[in-house]
Amino acid sequence: MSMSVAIEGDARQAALAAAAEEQALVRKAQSGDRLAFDELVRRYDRDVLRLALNVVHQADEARDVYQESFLRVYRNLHRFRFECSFYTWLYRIVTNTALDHLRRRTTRREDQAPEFPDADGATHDFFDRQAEDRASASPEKQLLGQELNRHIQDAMKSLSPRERAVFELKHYHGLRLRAIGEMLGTSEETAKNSLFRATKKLRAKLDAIR
Amino acid sequence: MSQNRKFGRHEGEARAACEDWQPLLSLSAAGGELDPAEESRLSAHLAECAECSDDFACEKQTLALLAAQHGEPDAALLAGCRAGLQDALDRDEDRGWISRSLGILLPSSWVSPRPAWSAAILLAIGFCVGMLAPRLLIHQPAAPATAEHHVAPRAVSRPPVLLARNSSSLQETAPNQPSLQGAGNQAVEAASAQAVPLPANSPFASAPASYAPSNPAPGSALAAIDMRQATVAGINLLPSGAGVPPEVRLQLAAPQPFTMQGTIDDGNVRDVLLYVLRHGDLFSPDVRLGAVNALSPRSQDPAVHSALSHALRQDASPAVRVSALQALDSSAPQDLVARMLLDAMSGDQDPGVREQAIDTLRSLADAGQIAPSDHMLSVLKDHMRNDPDQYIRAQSAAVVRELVSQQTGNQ
Repeated sequence: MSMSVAIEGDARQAALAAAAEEQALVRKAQSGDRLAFDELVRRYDRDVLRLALNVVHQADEARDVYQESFLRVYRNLHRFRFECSFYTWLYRIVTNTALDHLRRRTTRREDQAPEFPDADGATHDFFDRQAEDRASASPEKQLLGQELNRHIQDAMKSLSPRERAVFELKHYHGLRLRAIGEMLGTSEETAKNSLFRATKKLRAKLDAIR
Repeated sequence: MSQNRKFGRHEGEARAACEDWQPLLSLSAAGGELDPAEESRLSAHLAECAECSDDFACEKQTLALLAAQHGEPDAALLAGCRAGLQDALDRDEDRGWISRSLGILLPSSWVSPRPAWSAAILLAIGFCVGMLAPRLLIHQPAAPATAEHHVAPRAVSRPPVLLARNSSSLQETAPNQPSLQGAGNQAVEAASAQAVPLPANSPFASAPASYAPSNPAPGSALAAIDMRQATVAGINLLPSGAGVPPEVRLQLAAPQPFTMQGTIDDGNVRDVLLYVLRHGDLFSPDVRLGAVNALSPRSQDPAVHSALSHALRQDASPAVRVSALQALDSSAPQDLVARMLLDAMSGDQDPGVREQAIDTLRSLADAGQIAPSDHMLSVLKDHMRNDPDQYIRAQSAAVVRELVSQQTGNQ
């Protein structure tokens, strides 16, 4: 009992120290320290790119969202007042940038998974690539992984961009629905509805393969 | 698992009761969204309902499957993004020459913050305005007498709803009667009189009595709560057993705050909920959403249907409009539903509401439950081409395709 309390206390101390350290880093970046800003980018850019990919579903556009989001952060960092955590503020900017991109799309083609050119010129989408990384030991596993990913990709396509964003932020970034609602400029209830609808759609699509 | 479990819209009250648990179940599976009371209520239900328990397990399995397949972004793509960002940041810094040029023209002391000088200037401006403003105002020509009502404070029109209640039910509340709790004995005694009198200076004193309760309970010793003096601070839905509408708990903030509890078949509860929807601008979005959710099981009732339609057309909150749409979807005749959905698609600025409308239209079209008309096809084609939301454009195209193929098949 006392050991678990001690561990919890240590974890809390560590979290507080990390928050203070990040706050100092943000302040340095606010004062114009480019190296501090680069450090902030390195901390979060993997998550930012993943979020962008899962909302816009195209690699080129995700790259644009990534760049535009960090430029917005860079130009507006002086407006950040520490009223929320830095990553909440950052995700809000990324989510809104990604949704803006979807609104601005002039072409009417269906969403496609992001594609990456291979060494031999062939293209594999984002999800296929994940399967290769994870199941490289066994061809059968690789095949099954690719098949599964195709199903998941199809299922994700059935979600609206807003539903994708809410699902991604909740399940892969661990944000609370209240924070997600604030990020999307809507209420917690609307975010809750979007998550519920997204989960229902995904289950309807994926129940057959489970 | 779901194919053989899918039910038609009106099948199985037990299933309908279980569906009431679905949002809670989904939020619990998502983690960290339910309070301990909700978690324990859900656990109790799962312990006795095999179907919901099975659903819960399926939901968790689906989420686990998605989590397992959720990979990191490609390293090459990430590296490309980082390099592109560094270039963009360098260019952005180069563009700062304008501010540097201005720095040459203006001494830095002019633009650097100087709190003492700023405070002195502000004080001087304040002093000047304070000295001059009264003189300017005194020399204004007198307003004509007829303009008086333009400057008078605008009275808020707040129609009353008088809630009848039997004072005996306050002390011993039957399970199916709406109960009033938390007022204490003094409040009970005060409420056992007739309508609570409005103070002479109440902004609502002159409001017309345009809303009447549906069950005035004639002949009983009535007490009345005047909604002109009360407001709904919160609405909670408590899921109940199969075939029984959920319990609604209304928290009323009045001079004597109290809680009213009952099902939507209780006249007083129903009246308050209808009042909330009809006068939505007086209540917060959460309260309005609670009212829609509470009333939705009785959406076939004409008064409820009318209030939900009103909320769908008029409510300022997208979440409320979406919920009203969902509630009406399960009750109204299909042609009316289709018309409302088209109205929502054409008239609603919120993409979330339009997405819900097109989703519902698509499911109706796929099930062959709507008859295509020229107007409908014209509206959908317009959205297919011009809607700013790409998802809505794609879904509109799919519905048009489905409806046209049905038309062709019929011919």
